[in-house]
Amino acid sequence: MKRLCLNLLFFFLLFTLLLFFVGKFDNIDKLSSDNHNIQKIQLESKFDSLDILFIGNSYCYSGINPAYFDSVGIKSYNLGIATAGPKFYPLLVADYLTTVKQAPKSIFILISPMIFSSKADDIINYPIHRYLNQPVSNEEYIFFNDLNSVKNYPKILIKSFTKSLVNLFSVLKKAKPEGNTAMAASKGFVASADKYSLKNELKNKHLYASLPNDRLDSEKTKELLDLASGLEQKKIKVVFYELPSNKLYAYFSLNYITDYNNFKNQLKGKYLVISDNEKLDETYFRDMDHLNTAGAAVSSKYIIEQIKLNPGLLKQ
Amino acid sequence: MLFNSIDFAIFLPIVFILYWFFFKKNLSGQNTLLLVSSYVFYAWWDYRFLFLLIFSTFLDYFTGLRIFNSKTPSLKKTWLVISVCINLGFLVYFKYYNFFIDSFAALLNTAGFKPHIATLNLILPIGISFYTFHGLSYVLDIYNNKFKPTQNIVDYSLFVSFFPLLVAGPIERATHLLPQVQNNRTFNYTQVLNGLKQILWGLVKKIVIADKCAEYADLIFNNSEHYNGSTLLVGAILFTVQIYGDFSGYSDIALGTAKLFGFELLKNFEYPYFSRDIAEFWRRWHISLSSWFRDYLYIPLGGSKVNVWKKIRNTFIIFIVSGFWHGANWTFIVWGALNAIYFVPLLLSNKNRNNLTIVAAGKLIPTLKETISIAATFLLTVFAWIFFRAADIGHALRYIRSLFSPALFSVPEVFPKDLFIFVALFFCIEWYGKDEYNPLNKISNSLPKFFRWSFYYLLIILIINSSGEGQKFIYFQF
Repeated sequence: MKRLCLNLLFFFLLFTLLLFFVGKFDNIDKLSSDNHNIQKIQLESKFDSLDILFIGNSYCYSGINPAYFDSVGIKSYNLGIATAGPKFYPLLVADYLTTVKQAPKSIFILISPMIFSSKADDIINYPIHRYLNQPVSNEEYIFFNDLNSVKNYPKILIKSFTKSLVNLFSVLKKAKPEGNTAMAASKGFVASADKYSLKNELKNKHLYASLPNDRLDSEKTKELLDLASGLEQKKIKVVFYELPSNKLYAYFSLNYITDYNNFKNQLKGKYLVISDNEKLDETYFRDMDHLNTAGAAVSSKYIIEQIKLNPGLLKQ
Repeated sequence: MLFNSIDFAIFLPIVFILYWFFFKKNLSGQNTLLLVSSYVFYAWWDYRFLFLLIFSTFLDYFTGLRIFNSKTPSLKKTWLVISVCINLGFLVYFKYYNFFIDSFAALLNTAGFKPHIATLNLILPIGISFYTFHGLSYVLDIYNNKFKPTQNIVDYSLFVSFFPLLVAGPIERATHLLPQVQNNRTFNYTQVLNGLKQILWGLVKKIVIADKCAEYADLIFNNSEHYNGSTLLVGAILFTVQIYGDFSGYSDIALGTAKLFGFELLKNFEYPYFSRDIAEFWRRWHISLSSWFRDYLYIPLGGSKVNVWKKIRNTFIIFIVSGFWHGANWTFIVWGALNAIYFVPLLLSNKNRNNLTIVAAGKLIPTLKETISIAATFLLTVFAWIFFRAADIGHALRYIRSLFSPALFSVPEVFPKDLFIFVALFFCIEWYGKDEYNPLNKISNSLPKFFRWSFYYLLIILIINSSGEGQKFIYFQF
């Protein structure tokens, strides 16, 4: 019995230490990564003194094209990061603000039913905290940002470990400036000419399987409000915006959508909320919830129109 | 509580420590602890049905004693009939009531009547098919004088409710498990280590193989009208792998968990997809259920020691009942009948017991004949599983019609290449270890410690990496 306990203890201790220490190399590829989420964080310093910083999830990087803002003289950068939500947003904003010399005049924050769901802030598959200019360790992230994710710690450790192994085996890989150049040119926008198809939806449907059982996470709504008030204290204007959605709402329960709308109304009482009033047909989407390039053009122009109606937004 | 859940990962070590540290030399204490733990394990799902389990346990315990103590054969028989009727009554009520009502209504409908018959919104108590069969085997064995009933209610309750086998088997026999409950169990390092290895391999089967196959099998089966023939073939193959990984994975975890407490449960799977004919497949698939039906249904009906027509009748009965046991749907009945159709030619030509030992025993490469036989048997089972997985008979027939279209030879629209590589590797490991019940035993015996541990670490990494939201085991619904 004693032998078994000691063997098991040693087996798991060695395993944990291995995962922990090797896992520290998970972000050494940040200069050579092909991943656009990582690239746009590395490019933050090039986008200083902005009129607008857009933050949000993949809806943001698919649906907001800074080129349209450039054309009307608005300097903007799209810092949309896959799955980002109210837990990632403060990290992204803090990282951006410590990286640039001059804070943006305003920060546009994406809201969507998705960002309060169980699918948001997916640090397992998108450990973006490890790639910030000031990286945050997995343990720090869990302890200070999301204690609920402690149950995912083994999986997070293993993801870091496997990523580290890949990195260590490709340590000689050179930085890819051409990738970053393309991302710098698009200012964080990720174009897609794809169009929605039912088969594509069916293929990805399982990814959304948990949504009907989700409840609007009130902790996340509070964190979003805290972020907004913190930015206001720093004299940065805050605008919330929505983007047109294709089939997304059908995946949530009625209660969830009602709670989401109530929260949106709460925001409207205090902030400018640019809502998705445009009903776009399926051809403007690349899949069940992301806009394609044509959809991004429509939504970007719509936001520009709304900004014109509120010229004070871009004044210091 | 699911075996592949965090709850179970906490529950199991607690019970293990209490069992071996606090009740080490106290058999009744160990049994009571296991019984209480089993009830907690069951109540974790829905405590209300715990009362049904306890009632069923008391019923069989009591009728078992009555059967044994009855002075006359007619009285014995009366108690047996009472026990069987109540046991099957619960099973029929919870599992088959709506099926019979719906089928009856459909029958009246075809005869031109328009009946308004209410169905019930019943929740199927988890594991009812399994613990009912445990109890039935107990009273039937006592009736057949194979066994003396136990006087100890805790021992009997533990036999019925032992948590590793409570919700999805293996279906134990009193003659096999009850003596283990009643005898002292001592800590055996090798047995516990084998148990841990079996749990590890079971988790690989369930989480790395079955759950990943399920994603694609569900996608293809649930939207079969949108896919071409080759994609439907991919779906059917992936479901075939899924159900094996799911159910044999559960059985491995159950057997491994039981080993941690000093119990050896009945084998349930022995590499069924390496079978050379369908008879061998059924000796290797869900062994505890097949042998249950053989002993309590097939042999009492005369088995194979009767004339040809009765042999055929008996074969169809056992397969159809076995299919129906899996669920209240015509699809399961057709699945059973289809297997009977596969089986009958072997039975009539006396070839049903040709392949009793594992294929290519002690060899790494099978002969060409063996390879062809394995492939043919596998394809027959793939075809039969379509009925098992389909929502209804119409769905199965539409699926098959689309499958056997010219598009069968086109490029599949869904083909998870990485998953197929994993599945191929998985079957390679199973093939390499097929001479042992658990392939990890063979691997661990042939590797030095460094590589052995590295291999275990790799498996744990794969399990954690693949783990999702604790998918249920398919056989829980039966």
